[in-house]
Amino acid sequence: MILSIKQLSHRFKNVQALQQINFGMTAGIYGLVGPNGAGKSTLMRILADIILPTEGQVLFNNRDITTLGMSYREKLGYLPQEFNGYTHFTAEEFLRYVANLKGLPKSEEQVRVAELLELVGLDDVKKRKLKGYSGGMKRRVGIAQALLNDPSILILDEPTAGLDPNERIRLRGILSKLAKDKIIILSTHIISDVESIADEVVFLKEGKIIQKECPKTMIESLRNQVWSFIIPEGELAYYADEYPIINMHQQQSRVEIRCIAKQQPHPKAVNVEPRLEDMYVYHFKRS
Amino acid sequence: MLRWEIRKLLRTPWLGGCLGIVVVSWSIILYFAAQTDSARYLDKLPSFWSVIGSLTLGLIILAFLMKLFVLDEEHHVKEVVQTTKFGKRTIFHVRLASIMLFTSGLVCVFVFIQLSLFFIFNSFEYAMDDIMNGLFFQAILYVWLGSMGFALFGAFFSTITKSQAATIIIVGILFGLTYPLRGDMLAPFSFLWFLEKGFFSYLMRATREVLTDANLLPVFVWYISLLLLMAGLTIMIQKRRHER
Repeated sequence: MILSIKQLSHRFKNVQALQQINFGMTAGIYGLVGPNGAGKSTLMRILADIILPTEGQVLFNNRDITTLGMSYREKLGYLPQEFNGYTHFTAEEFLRYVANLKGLPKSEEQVRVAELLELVGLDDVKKRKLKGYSGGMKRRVGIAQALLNDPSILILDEPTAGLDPNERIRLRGILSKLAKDKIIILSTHIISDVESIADEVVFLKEGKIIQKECPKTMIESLRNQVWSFIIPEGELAYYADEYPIINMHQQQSRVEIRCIAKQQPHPKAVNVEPRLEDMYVYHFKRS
Repeated sequence: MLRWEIRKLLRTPWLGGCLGIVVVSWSIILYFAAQTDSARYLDKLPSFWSVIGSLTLGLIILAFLMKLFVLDEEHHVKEVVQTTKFGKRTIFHVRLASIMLFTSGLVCVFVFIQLSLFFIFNSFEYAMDDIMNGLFFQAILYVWLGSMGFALFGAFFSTITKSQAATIIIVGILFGLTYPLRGDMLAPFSFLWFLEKGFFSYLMRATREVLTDANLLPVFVWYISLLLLMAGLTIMIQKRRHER
C-alpha cells in the first residue's frame, strides 16, 4: 500500500497554498506540522479527494485517486479541521448515519458503532444529543466516525484540538495500535502529539516541505545545540534578538531561557536534551 | 440511506405546530361555513388549497425540507459526507428522493385533514360523487405536481446558494407572489404573468380557475424549463472541485 504525492501544487486566487510537494507514504503515522496557513489542511483535503490540486497528482497504489472514486473513498477515513456533527442527533445516531453512508452492512453497523463509542470513551453518553457535547467530545465523535469503515488511509486534521491531556494520550495509544497496517496522516500544532508516535514528521512552511524525517533523527540533529541558562531580565532583549528562544521562565528579576545555538551562547549555559518542539521553534519562530 | 434522510426530516421541530395551524384554521372556516347552507359548505372543500393548504405546504417545504441540503454545511459535516463511500452525488440523489417522498406524504396528510374535518363539521346530506368528483382528484394531482416541482426547485436553489436563509427569502417571495397578483388582469407571458404563475404556487393553489384553465401547457413548459435550468446549474456547481 503506497500513497504518493507527485509534483503537487495548489493555488487559491492570490495565494500559493502548496508548492511542488513530493513524497511517498507506506503504513505508518505521518505528522504534518506547521504554523497556520502553512498548507496542512489544503494538503489533507487534496489527499481526501475533496479538492482537486491545481497541479500534480496523488497516487494510491500507482493510480490517481481522482479516477478511483468510490474504491478510494471506501478505504478512507477523514476528520476535517472543523467538525460539529448534526446537533439534533445523538452520538450513536450520528455514527450509525455515517456508517450507513460508508456502506457498512446493518449487522456490522451496530457492533462497530458500539466498539468505537467505547474506544473514544463516549459509550456512557451515547444517547445524549450532540448539542450538549463539549468541543472535545465532538472531536472524539469525529475521530470515531473516521474509523467506522476501518480505513486503510486515515486523515485527521488536528484531531487533538480541544482534547484534554488524558484524551490526547488515549488518542495517541489508539493511533499507535492502528498504524501497523494503515497510513495515518495527522496535522497538529501540538508537537508532543507527533513526537512520540509519528514515524515521520513533515514540516510545512508557506506551502513547501522544509524538512521530512523521523522525529528521532530530527531531535538528534539538534544534539548539543539546545541550551538552558539564567540571565538578568535586562539582558533578555539581546538574547531574544540573537537566538531562537524556545522557552522563558521568569524568576523574580532573572529569567531562565532555553534557546538554540550552534555554540555556547552564555558562559553559564548548559546543554539540555533536545525535543521536537525545539526543531519547530528553530524552523518557525524567526518567521 | 433514504430511511435516515426521512428520519432527519421527521425530527424537525415545529412541523407538528404547522400542521396544527392548518387544522385549526380549516376547522374555523368549516365551522362557519357549516352555519350557512349545503351548497356553500360544499364549495368550501376545494378552497382548502387556494390559501391555507398551498401556503402552509409551501412554508413547510421551504422551512423544513430545504434544511436537508444545507445541514451538512451548517454543522461542518459536508466534508465527512463527501469522503464517505457513496460520495456527494449519491447522497444528493437520495436526498432529492427523500424530499419527494416526504412531500408526497405531506400532500396525503393535507388531503386527510381537508377531508376528515369536512366530514366532522358536515351536517348536510351529500352523495359521495358530489364530494369526490373529478375536480377533487384533479386538484390533488395538481397540488402534488406543484409541490413536487416546488420542492425540487427549492432543493436546487439551496444547494446552489448553500444558505437556508437565502432560500427562504428569495424562493419564499417568488412562491408568495401568486397570492397578491391577479392572473386574469395580467397580459399572458408578461413579466408579472411569470411571477404569478411561474413558481409552482399557481398549480399548488388548485383553484377552480387553475383546474379549468385550458391553456396550462405553457405553464408546464415553463416549470419544466425552470427545473432543468436549476438542475443544470446544480450539477455544474456540484461538479466543481477546484477551489480558488
